[in-house]
Amino acid sequence: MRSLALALLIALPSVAQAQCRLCATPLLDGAANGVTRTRPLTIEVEAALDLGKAASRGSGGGSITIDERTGARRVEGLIDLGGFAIKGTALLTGEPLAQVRVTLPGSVRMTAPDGSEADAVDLRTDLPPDARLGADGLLRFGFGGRLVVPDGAVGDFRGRIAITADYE
Amino acid sequence: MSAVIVSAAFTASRNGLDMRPPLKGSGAARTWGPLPLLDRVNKGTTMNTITKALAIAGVAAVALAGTAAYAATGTSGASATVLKQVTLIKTSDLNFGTIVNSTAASTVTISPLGTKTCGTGLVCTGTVTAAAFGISGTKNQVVTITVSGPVTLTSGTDSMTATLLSSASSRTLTGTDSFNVGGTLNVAANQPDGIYTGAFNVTVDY
Repeated sequence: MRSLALALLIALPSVAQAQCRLCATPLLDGAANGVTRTRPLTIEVEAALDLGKAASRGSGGGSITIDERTGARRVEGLIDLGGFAIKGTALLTGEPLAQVRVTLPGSVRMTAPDGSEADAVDLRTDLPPDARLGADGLLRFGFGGRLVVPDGAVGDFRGRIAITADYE
Repeated sequence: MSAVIVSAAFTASRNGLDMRPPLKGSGAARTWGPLPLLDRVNKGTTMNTITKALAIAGVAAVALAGTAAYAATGTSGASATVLKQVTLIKTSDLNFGTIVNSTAASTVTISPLGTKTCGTGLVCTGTVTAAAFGISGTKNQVVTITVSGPVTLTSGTDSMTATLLSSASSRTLTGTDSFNVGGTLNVAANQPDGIYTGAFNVTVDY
């Protein structure tokens, strides 16, 4: 009986270790420093990118740019009609103080109900190259881009921008 | 009666595939076995096949999941509205017709629909028309219509003024849109005769 108890005592750490290895799979933040990441990243888009309203000059096309930092709008080759133009904003949640990388697509095709197409290019965030989550595990960032409107393309253009975030 | 559980566990890490050794035993005695490599998982024929199948499935799952387990993907909408340029075309002038003056000041009114009202003391003849304009632009967009005024009509050094009235101050474009402009001409007493002309501006904006 005593030897059985001893055997159980010896076995318990092994069981505990086995359970831990089954349930906790920390993510290594690079082999060199061995820092672990236990919180997955999540992205919540708080505001969609709205490039506002413009009118064609009749020929030549043009572009609308929203600055990713200031939200300032610049219209070229088109007539600026204002509208509710805002830069996009998103909230990243994850491991506090972890360095992250946020990636936007090189371009996004935007389409209008009548089939007209325009491309959103130069999509950028306002994050520095070494962006880090805050001590609260949050990082809010803005993003903007430039819509290139071909000659003759008009309509209500809509598109989807895929935002990817990962630990560095 | 006893059972031996043999399984393979796989986890993904940013550094690649991490294959855990098989789990052996039953109940509280379950423990990790010592063999981490696929070809050393189990020597039993049937179990070996199952284990390898599990292993292959695990490898496939890891390959699909890759290192994105802790990455996040979000999608943002992007929108912009680009409208056609508004085009305004005059299709008719405002014409007050021919007026025989009077010793008293009076007015001649042409409604936006083209209806004439000749003031007291005046004689109004001839064809009258309201000004008419066509608009082209993007359907379903609202435009505002602004008419300048009053307008001065001159004949040499003589002049009259007219106030203007549009049939609409805004319009939701349908593709075939138009509006008219009428006015009221102020005719002075003993207004000198002549052909009086003037011009006014009409602006249409989104």
